[in-house]
Amino acid sequence: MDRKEEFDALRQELERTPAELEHSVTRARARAKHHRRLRWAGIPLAGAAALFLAFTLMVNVSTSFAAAVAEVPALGPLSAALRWRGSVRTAAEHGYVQAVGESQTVNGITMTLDYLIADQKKVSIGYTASCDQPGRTVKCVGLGGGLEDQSGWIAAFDVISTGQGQSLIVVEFQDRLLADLSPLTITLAAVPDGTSAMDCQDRAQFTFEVEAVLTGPQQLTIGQWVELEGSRLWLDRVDIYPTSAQLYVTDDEDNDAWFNGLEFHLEDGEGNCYGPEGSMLGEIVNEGDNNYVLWFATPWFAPDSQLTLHITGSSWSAKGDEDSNAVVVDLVSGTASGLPDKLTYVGAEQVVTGTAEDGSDQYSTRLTFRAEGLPAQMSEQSPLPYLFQHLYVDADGEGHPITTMGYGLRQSDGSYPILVYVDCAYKGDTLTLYLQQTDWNYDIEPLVIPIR
Amino acid sequence: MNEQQYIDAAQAIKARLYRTALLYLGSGSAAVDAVDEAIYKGFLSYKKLRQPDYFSTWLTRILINVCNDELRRRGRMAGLEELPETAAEQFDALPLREAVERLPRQLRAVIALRYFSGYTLAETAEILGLPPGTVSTRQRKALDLLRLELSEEEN
Repeated sequence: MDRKEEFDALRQELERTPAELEHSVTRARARAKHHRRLRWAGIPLAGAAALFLAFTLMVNVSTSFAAAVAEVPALGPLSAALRWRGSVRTAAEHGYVQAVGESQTVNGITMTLDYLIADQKKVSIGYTASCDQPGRTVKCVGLGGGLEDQSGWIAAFDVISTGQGQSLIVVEFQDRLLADLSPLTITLAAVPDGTSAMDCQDRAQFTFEVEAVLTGPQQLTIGQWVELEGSRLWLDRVDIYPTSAQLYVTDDEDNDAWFNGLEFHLEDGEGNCYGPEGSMLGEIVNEGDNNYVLWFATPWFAPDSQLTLHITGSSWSAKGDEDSNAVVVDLVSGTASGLPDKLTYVGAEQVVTGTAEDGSDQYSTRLTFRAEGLPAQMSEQSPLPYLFQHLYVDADGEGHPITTMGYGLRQSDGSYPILVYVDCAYKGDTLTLYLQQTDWNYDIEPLVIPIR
Repeated sequence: MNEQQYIDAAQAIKARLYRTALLYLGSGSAAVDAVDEAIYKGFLSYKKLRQPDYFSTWLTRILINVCNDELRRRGRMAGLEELPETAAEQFDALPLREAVERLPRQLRAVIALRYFSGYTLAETAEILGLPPGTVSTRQRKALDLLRLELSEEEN
């Protein structure tokens, strides 16, 4: 083969792209949305500890969960994963689990499809897998079959491995509802320890014919405008599924500001609250044409039929070109311009945020702002820290991602310190941040709207 | 550019991005990671893209930066070492793919973009932030080392 033939062969070879590339955009999109959830270092650990405690108590005292575990034994080890999936866990607690228990062995990999927790909007697939080769871990590298739409596209998905061979695949559908799960196709790879699953060719495809019961939504029409911070928001409807729920809203195109976030929850007649519970694509999914979908904890299993929607705050972003949302921080003079009324600039300082390979300290520049009009209680779902977009522009006009953004402890005057970390290498005199929200108010008289 | 436009545009060029990253980094998994990272970084800043016509060169430029970061991160880690421009005989003895992967980085980028990702000379210059004349010189040098005679039609 001469060089030219080699060239043609190489071009042909490179035309083939790996399956992992198929979901690059979905992964990046989900990651970009989740980027908004970054928290100040101390917060997530405390939150995780609290969640773990709550889960431990729930497993110990909840007879319904214990009953579900008894019916589907694989739920036991997988419950560690389920604690992070509020509504899925709720569904499992209420016995909304379809046990399968079918095993197949392909290319030395044995997979048991343990159970499904599925409806038309979200599917959770629990399975156990092992291989006959030591020093390898079985990982999921592909999904297909009934999960694909006509163009071969699979909605946002995540795979949670709990160790000891158990895994949970969670798939969410944004633009369509799942009509039929069968045939369910899952590709697994026996990955040598310490190597990448993507490079592993020891793969096996499993196809299961499953008769999954896919529950459709309970749709509750709201159909009314509300006015928040001088802008109008159309509350269209609520969709409730066993494993998730969504509030559909539309902002008025004549508003002076774009809709940016809603502080809300649903409440049943017994006072149980169902608050925001982000989808894989974020707390709010922008569907275009001023339409937004807000995911929240499902009240499907609510013990009382009455439901009211409580709106306690909102945030907005002024319309106009991007420069209208720009905040220019002058690190030399210690001033900032372009700030909205409820936000003030406190100052900047170099702080140690890590250790370099050579053992020396790594620094970041921490900018501190103070925000007013935020709710008294911060929660994992609060949109509070995301006052800025996760990007700053340096003095040369180059954009860079912001390393971390978060908030400090509530001050005695009710304000919160908002902390923005930019990379250690930043040496310029000025930098520009972009506001994600230009107006917010989480201190309003709650709007209570009966919806069922 | 709105989010859906960004998604559609990124979908359309992700295979092209992958080919560029694969030749640049020499590993399929690293290339997928680099494409993921580039598309992710693009997500963070697509709203600032004032000229959507330059979308593919813009995102490819992000990808090249990601690849350069990855190569810097690898540092002295084992892998295919670049050969100097003076090692013509060694290049000649290598299979083409390995020869491309062992080109000096600045030449490899030009070859990957021009002949495996289908960018024009002007686009390649835009992506790499170089004058077109420099790209042309590097292209000629790289083709000489690879013992390849390619016409413009083979771009």
